[in-house]
Parts: sequence; structure tokens; C-alpha cells
Amino acid sequence: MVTMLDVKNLKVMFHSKQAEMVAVDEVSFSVRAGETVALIGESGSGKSVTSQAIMGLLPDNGRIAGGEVSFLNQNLVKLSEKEMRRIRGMKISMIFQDATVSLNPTMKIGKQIVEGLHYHQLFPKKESKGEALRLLSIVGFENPSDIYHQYPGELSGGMKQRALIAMAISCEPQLVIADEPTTALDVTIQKQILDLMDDYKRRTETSILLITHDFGLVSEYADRVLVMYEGKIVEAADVFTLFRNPVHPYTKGLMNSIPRIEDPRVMLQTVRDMAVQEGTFEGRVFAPEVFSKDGVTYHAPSALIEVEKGHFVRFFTNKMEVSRT
Amino acid sequence: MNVGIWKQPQFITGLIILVSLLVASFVYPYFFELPKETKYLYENGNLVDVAPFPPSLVPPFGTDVFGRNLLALIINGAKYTLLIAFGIAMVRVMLGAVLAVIYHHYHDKLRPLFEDIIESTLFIPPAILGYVFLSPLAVKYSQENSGFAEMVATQSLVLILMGVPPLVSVFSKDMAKITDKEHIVSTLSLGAKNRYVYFKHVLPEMASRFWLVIAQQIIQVLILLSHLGVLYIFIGGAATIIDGDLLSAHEVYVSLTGEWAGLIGSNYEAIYHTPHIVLIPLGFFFLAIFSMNLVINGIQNNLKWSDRGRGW
Ligand SMILES: Nc1ncnc2c1ncn2[C@@H]1O[C@H](COP(=O)(O)OP(=O)(O)OP(=O)(O)O)[C@@H](O)[C@H]1O
Ligand SMILES: [Mg+2]
Repeated sequence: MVTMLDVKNLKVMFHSKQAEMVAVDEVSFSVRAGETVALIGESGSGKSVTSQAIMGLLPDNGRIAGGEVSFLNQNLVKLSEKEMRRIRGMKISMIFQDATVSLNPTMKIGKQIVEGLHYHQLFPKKESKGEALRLLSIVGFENPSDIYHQYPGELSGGMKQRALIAMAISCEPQLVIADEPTTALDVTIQKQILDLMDDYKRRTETSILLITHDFGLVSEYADRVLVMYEGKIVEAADVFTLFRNPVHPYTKGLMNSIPRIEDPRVMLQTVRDMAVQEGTFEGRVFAPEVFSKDGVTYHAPSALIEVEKGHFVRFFTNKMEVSRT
Repeated sequence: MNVGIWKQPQFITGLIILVSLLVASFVYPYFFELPKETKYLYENGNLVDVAPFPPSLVPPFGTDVFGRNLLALIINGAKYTLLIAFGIAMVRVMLGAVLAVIYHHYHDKLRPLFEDIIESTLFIPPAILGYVFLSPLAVKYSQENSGFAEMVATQSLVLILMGVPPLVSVFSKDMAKITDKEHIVSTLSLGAKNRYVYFKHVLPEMASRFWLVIAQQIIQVLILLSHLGVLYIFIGGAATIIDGDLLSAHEVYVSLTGEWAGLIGSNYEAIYHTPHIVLIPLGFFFLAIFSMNLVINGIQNNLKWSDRGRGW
């Protein structure tokens, strides 16, 4: 299978008034054609920052401090803003979490979903209405011509999310990054939206990078899973391997308490405590970048190790023992 | 801005007052002659009174110091006053918006310089700033006798430019708020150019805000004009007339357009003995500002409404 996206050693930093802070570090993964790769982790673990770095849309105070983002063997990090614009929407597009704020409230739905077609001049303006109606029916609207003339505020959350999907697929991109596309929706609508995306993916061989909090969704829709914790990937494997044999305590913590959306944050607090744990895998130590134990602070030169074929786990060190620094 | 604005009673009331003033002002010359100067009133060949004449003699407001019907002057001057204020406000806002786009876009490089300039101008009363710039101009034009249109254009330009920097500052802050919104990121993720984002998303979203600011600017300009009038700066310039008798001749400046500020200025000396000649044009300034405020309230109410209606 063709490798669509190949991220190698990505490092993203943010600078505030005084300090610079590392948000994402040593992140490496790939997405192949037609594959759904899930990126899962608690709030603040760096999932959105990773996707922004791929799109070249980091906030003004952020920068890519190292690594590569290759899309079909082209390193996006090196592209100019102008070249990057041709990638966005056209080759890689995004679906955002909250459709209420991701759609312009003052612009009609119909006009809005074909904006991408105008940017990339894929359609003459005259024909764009027909194309908008076609897109609206693809995402499951039965009355596209009514929806066309409505403002986002007149639609329900699930309908807005559909419109956002229509927008993201308008230029038939090869990779869609969906950043928690259903977190704002209730469970039944959530399933409809993800089924819609999954169905589209299967028909068009599009790749999906699915960012989520929720292991329940991962088991259902993903082919492979990346577990992210404090800006790093701590475990990566295909979905069957991971569910059969989760190794990292943080992954286990996430799995054992598959959130039912009520409040993922509460359960993630308890997961955090499990990340520092000793001797659960061949006597190795799992840990975040920095942790304290018995009054001593340790800095971890952690690394990803392949524990079985295609199954990578990050340990505190490559060695067995804990080193003092 | 949307249709809801026409359901705001304050907006409509304000607009009706202003439009009536304007219409009256434009229509007036077709039905009446402009009032002529009448300095002396004779009865049976005897001099009985000297201008200004009281309201009892020339209803409803009496005359100005040259014996012209004050109401007629005010009505006639309304169009110049209001349209000049509107024009200046309009251009200020348009210029401010365009410059704000540029400023916001090159924010990091321009900010240190620009912020200082604005900060320092904010503390100077506009009337003084206007006087400093416009009085040399007034002298220059009265000496060279240059064209009326050129004079108006130059004066307007000064009044426009004076008001632009604070607007750039305000607008660019608004823009920063809008460009931080997620739907802008969403547009960018589709491959939009910055130019497109400004023209299709940012500026339209600010449209109702622009109308509001134009209305506020009209008020500011009206106030500024009335202040400048007191300082003998009239839009369109002034003719200098020697008034009084041979023994006590003195110069009087007469506004060439007849706008209200000029009316105030050229009658200003009357404030001591017949204050109503100054106070009545001032009252009309007040009426215009009051109506403008009604319009503003209407717009603001409507903004709140539409915000809620669209579920922002
Ligand atoms: N503009 C920014 N300036 C400074 N720090 C930032 C900025 N954006 C993100 N960060 C930091 O980067 C880290 C990762 O944030 P990110 O938004 O990627 O988290 P996330 O995994 O997407 O979380 P969530 O599930 O809440 O969306 C956080 O610690 C956050 O504080
Ligand atoms: Mg996020």
C-alpha cells in the first residue's frame, strides 16, 4: 500500500513571553492509502498541535522545531506558504471538533461548502451551486436545496458537522484529518457521522487521521492506533494487537475506562497516575519525560521499542534500571 | 446589518429626523429665495431697529447679525453640515478599514511605530488638532483666493486623516478577534489565501460594526465642526466682511457654504447680547447628534438581536 503521510521525529515548540515550551516531540508515524489511523490521548497531549503542524497551520507563536512531514514523498515542512496552500483542502483537509464555531455564522451553508473549490479553481463559479447540492446529498441531506440557503445557526449540531464534512471532502483530498469530529455531538449522532466518514473513506480510498479521546471509537473505526501522552507517542500498533495486548499502563488506563463522553477529563486524571509505573513489562519502567520518585527527580531519555511485530512502546529508558540525572 | 434594523423604533425615529432635515434643506431653495441681508429696519422712513431682529419680528427664531431669517439659514445649511459630516465619517471608516487590514497583516513590524503615534494623538482634543492644521490653511486660501472646491477638499482631507489612526487601532483589534476564530482556521485549512479571508470573511463580519462606527464618527465630526466654527474655521472657508460703522469697523468672517458651524462662528459675537442666535444653531447640532444617537442605539439593539438569532 502507498504511504500517504509519513511523519518523522516531529518536534513542535511554542514560545510565550519568556519561555519556550515543547508541545510535541519525537512523533513519528505513517498513514497509508485508505487507512484510518487513530491518534488518541488525553487533553493537552498534543494531538491538535500535531495536526496543525501537518497542515502548516500552527498558531503564530508555534513553530516546527525539527523533523519531517512527508506527504507522498514531498516534505511539507520545506514548502513555501504558496505551495502549502495548494496542498490544503486539495490534498489534505481537516474536519474540526466544533462545527458551531468552525462555520462562518454569517455565510450561507451552500456558499460556504464550495469555498475550497473556488480557492483551487476546480469549478467555474456558475456550476458551483450544482456541486454544492451534490456534496450536501453525499453527506446525507435529503433536501440539499433547502440547506443550501440556510445559515449555520439554523442547523442542528449534527447537521453542521455534516456540512463541515461536505466542505472537507469538496476537493476530494487524499487525506482527511478529523480532529475530534464528534466530541460535541451526542452518541447516536456521533455514530451516524463516523459511519458517514467511514463509508466515504471506503468508497474513495481516502486516508483518515482520526483524533479522539475515545477508545470506543478507535476499536470501531481505526485500522491502527497511536497513543499520545505529553507530546510523545507512547504506544503504537494495529487495532487488533493493541486491544489484545496493550502494554503501556497509560494505554491500559485509557482502555479500562472507555469514556462514554460524559466527562472524559475526569477519567483521564486517574489515567495520568498510571503512567509512572514500574516493572510491568519485562521489568522496564514506563514514564513521562520527567517524574519524581522518592524525592528524586528523573529525566527520561525515553525511546520507542518494538515489543512485537508492528507494536511499539515507549519506556522510561532502553535499559532496565532507572538512571539518576 | 439586516432587515431587523427596520423594526427598531429608535433607528427609524433618528433616521426620519435626519432625512427630514436633509430633504427640507434640498427642497427649500426651490420654494423660497435664500434670505437676503437686511441690516436696518425703517418705518415711515425712520430707522427703528438694527439687525439682529428678535423672533417676535421674524418668527420663529429671529435673524442673524446680518438680518437673515435664522430658520431659513439653518434649513439651508443642514445639507452641507450633514453631508460633510457623513462624507468625512464614511471615508474615515473606509480608509481606516483598509489600513487596518494592512496593519493587522504586518502587525509585528508596524506595531511599535504605530502604537506610539496613536497614543500620542489620543490625548490632544480633536478641535485643537483640527485648529492647528486648518488655520494656516484658512489663511493661505484667503490670501490666494483659490478655488472653493479645492478648499473644501483639502479641509475634508485633513479632517478625514485626523480621525483615521484611532480607527485603524480599533478595527485591527476587531480583526484580531475575528481571525482568531476557528472558522477562519477552517477556511485556511481549505487553502484560502489571506486576501480572500479578509474580503470574504473578516470584512463582511465587520460590516454591521462599520455602520455603527460611521454613525459614531458622524457625531464626532459634528462636534468637531461646531468647535471649529467657534474658532472661525469653516468648511469651505470664510469671506471677510468689514462690519460696523466707520468709527468702529471690525472684521466678521462669514461662512461661504452656510453650514451650521459657520453660522455659529459668524454670529459668535452676538452671544453676549442675543445668545439665541448662537444657541439655536447649536441646538440643531444637538438635534442632529441626538438623532444620530437614536440611530446608533437602534443598530446596537439590532446587533444584539441578530447575534442571538443566529446562535452565536
Ligand atoms: N497557541 C499555543 N500557545 C502555547 N501553547 C499551546 C498553544 N496551542 C497548544 N499549546 C500547548 O500544546 C499542548 C498540546 O495541545 P493540543 O491542543 O495539541 O492538545 P490536544 O491533545 O489536542 O488536547 P484536546 O484533547 O484538549 O484537544 C498543550 O500543552 C497546550 O498548552
Ligand atoms: Mg485538540
